[in-house]
Amino acid sequence: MTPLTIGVLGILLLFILMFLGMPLGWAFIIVGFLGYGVAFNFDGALSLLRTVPYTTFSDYGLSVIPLFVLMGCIAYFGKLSEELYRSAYRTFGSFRGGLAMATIFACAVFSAVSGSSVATAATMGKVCIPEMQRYKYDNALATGCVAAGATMDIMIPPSVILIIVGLITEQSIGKLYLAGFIPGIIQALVFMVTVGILCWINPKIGPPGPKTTFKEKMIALSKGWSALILFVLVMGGLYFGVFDANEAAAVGAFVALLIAVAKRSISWTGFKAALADTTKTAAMIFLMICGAFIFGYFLSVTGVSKYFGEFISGMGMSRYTILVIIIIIYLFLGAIMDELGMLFITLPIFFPVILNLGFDPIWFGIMVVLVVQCGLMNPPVGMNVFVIKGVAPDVPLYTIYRGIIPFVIADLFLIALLILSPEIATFLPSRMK
Amino acid sequence: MSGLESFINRFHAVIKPVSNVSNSVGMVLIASIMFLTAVDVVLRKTLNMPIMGAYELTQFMMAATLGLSMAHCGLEKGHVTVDVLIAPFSRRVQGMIGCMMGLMGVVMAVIMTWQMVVYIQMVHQSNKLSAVLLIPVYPFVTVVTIGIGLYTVILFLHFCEFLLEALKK
Repeated sequence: MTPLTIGVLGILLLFILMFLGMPLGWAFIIVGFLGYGVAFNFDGALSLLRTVPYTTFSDYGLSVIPLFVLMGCIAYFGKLSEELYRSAYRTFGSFRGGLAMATIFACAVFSAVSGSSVATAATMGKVCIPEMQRYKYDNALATGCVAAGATMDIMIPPSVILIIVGLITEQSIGKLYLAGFIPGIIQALVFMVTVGILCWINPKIGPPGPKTTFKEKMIALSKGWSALILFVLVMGGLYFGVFDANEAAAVGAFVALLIAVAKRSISWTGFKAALADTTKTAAMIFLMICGAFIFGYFLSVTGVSKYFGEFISGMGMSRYTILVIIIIIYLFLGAIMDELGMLFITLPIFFPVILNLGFDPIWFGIMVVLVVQCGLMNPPVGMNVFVIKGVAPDVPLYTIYRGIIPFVIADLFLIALLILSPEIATFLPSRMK
Repeated sequence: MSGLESFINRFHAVIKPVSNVSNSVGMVLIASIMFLTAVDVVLRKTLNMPIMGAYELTQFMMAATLGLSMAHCGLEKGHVTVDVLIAPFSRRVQGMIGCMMGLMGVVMAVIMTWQMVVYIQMVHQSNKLSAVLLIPVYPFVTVVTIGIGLYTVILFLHFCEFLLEALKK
């Protein structure tokens, strides 16, 4: 068997193990180990098992992941989200569909201090859905806007998914963070416009909330300062080169803790819960990183990625046709796979193709994240949908999916916009100091 | 209660506190990394006095945190799996498939733990030290190995649970 055949069979085996329910990290490790052993030699494969776990776990550059996860967890257990929603609620609540818009606004701002979409869906779902139900909002709109709004978490920095993209593609995390900023804002606006259109078509689904004066709106907005401080600190520090991504994450987590303590919104139990959630998430991510590294060695020794890149480039199709095919593959995979697993499997294969085709790597990173976001909402996996179902058990799953459809369409519009205007993503990174 | 079920319950009762303690140490370490890095940045930017060896201390603590948290994450079934295609099958079939996957995972984890024990010896014999504080590296490799070993035990527990499911009539 040629190394290339072993490579292709290895990828097939990976999918088989994965779909048979094996934890993805172990599927990577098993296929990577066996594949490397068969394609190269088993001494080398054993050496990978020996060295990769410790070198991965002790990689200073990767410490950014648990630290940003910690920052998000502290923001979550420190109840910064509730304060945000109250601010947004006073500002937009009196418009038609205003509570749903407030939810999206609060999700966007909370995303700026949190790195996990699931955490945003859980926390915003608990706060916002009962409030919208109280004002007789349609359940599909109420649940759909939270599920969609929470997906912005993986686009708006600090996002763990963007770190993973940076790690796999060897791109600057700082640049990726800056690249996600403008698309994140546009996405929030597009989602809010989507709510506006839905309520304009059918006013019954989002009746106006209580009226507030201009002064009350301003006072409410000013109370959302804590999230703003955190965001400016982290992104400003990165943009102006005050500190690197690891330091930004640690300082962000520390300041989030100081704010929560100053506001007395986090208890000792809450702090411990934030730490426990962080270690659990970090362990989950690092097992996959460890496995992906071993699998990556296997892929490089077989030359599959290089061959695949050359094969696609040699097909004679336009680069945009190939890009659209890749996006469709991501949308399909997003419906059946978790976003992290999808990135670890596909990026080592697709990224060289994208580079060969001459696309900007940072732009592609943002594009991938946008497509992965759609996956977070699509049936049958759609992680956020299940989180919302857990928070609002009285709403049928079908209703939540129905509520999500307009936001998936909005995301497809954004994907098209990003293809037509790549500067949306590349403008800020090109000005990074 | 069958023998296997009672074995799983006793096994669980023993391994859970061990994994909780291990995870608690990891929690303390991740908080320490946050404080260490934040203080290091503040001291460096304000007084131009960085904490010596902060970089390598972060590396060591990160390795220990992740190693020690692995088992707890496994026990809580926190690792990513794709079960959408096997979900429609009966619990018994799911148990049989889980048994096969679990056994493969256990075998792989045992090989990994064995290789990491070999790595401890190699690092110890080479007397590898950190660059600034000259701290020996092997104790941290040992901690990661213990963490992976503990996780291997959890994988074995999951295998037994799948076996129980597969054997149910």
